Amino acid sequence: MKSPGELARERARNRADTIRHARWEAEMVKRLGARWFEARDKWLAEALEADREAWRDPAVRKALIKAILATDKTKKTRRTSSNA
Amino acid sequence: MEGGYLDSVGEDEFVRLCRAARERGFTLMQGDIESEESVGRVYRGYLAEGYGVRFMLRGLILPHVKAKLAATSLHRRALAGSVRVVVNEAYTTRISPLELQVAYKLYLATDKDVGDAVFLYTLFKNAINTEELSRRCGELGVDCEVLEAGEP
Repeated sequence: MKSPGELARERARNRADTIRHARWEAEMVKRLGARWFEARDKWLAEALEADREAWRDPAVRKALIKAILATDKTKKTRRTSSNA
Repeated sequence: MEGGYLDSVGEDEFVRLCRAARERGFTLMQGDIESEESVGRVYRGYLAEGYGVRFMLRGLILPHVKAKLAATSLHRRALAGSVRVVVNEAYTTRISPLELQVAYKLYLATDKDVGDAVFLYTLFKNAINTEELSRRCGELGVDCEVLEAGEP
């Protein structure tokens, strides 16, 4: 089990990676413009096609929708209790 | 997933909105868009209770469009100050002011949200009014230093 200090360092590292990636992506958009989105959409389209295949199964589809709607309820409950 | 707020939409107006959405190929994740009774239930059970409703285009689960009723002064400010955006010189949509988007993402504060704030800020730095951004960050009690900092 990680110590609180290790956990804090890991969180800080994750956040730093996310911020670095966000800056890099914004710079890529500025540099490449529409070409960046075309390249990214190509990768996304391949991933989406695999997902769509999985969503054809009604059980997978139902479970995914249930998970999305459950997230809404959790978020609202969290917000309501933090505002209380 | 893309999200948006609806300003003062009553049940009848929501039914009309769903009718228009249905004609353009959208379905509802929480109900049957073909049935006005079901749409009414979705309005009362979700929108009126403060939840978002989710529209899917041609049955596609992700991405989809989420809409909620504007409930706070921040939501209403986002609508009132919204900016018109033209996509591919063919479609128009409205987005909330960039300064408010960046400040709100910092306020939400998950790693992903902070990343989104940095992305928007870096991309639109020349179009963002820094005084306005500082004001919005102050109102939400967030530190906007991360936007400009070098390596975090």
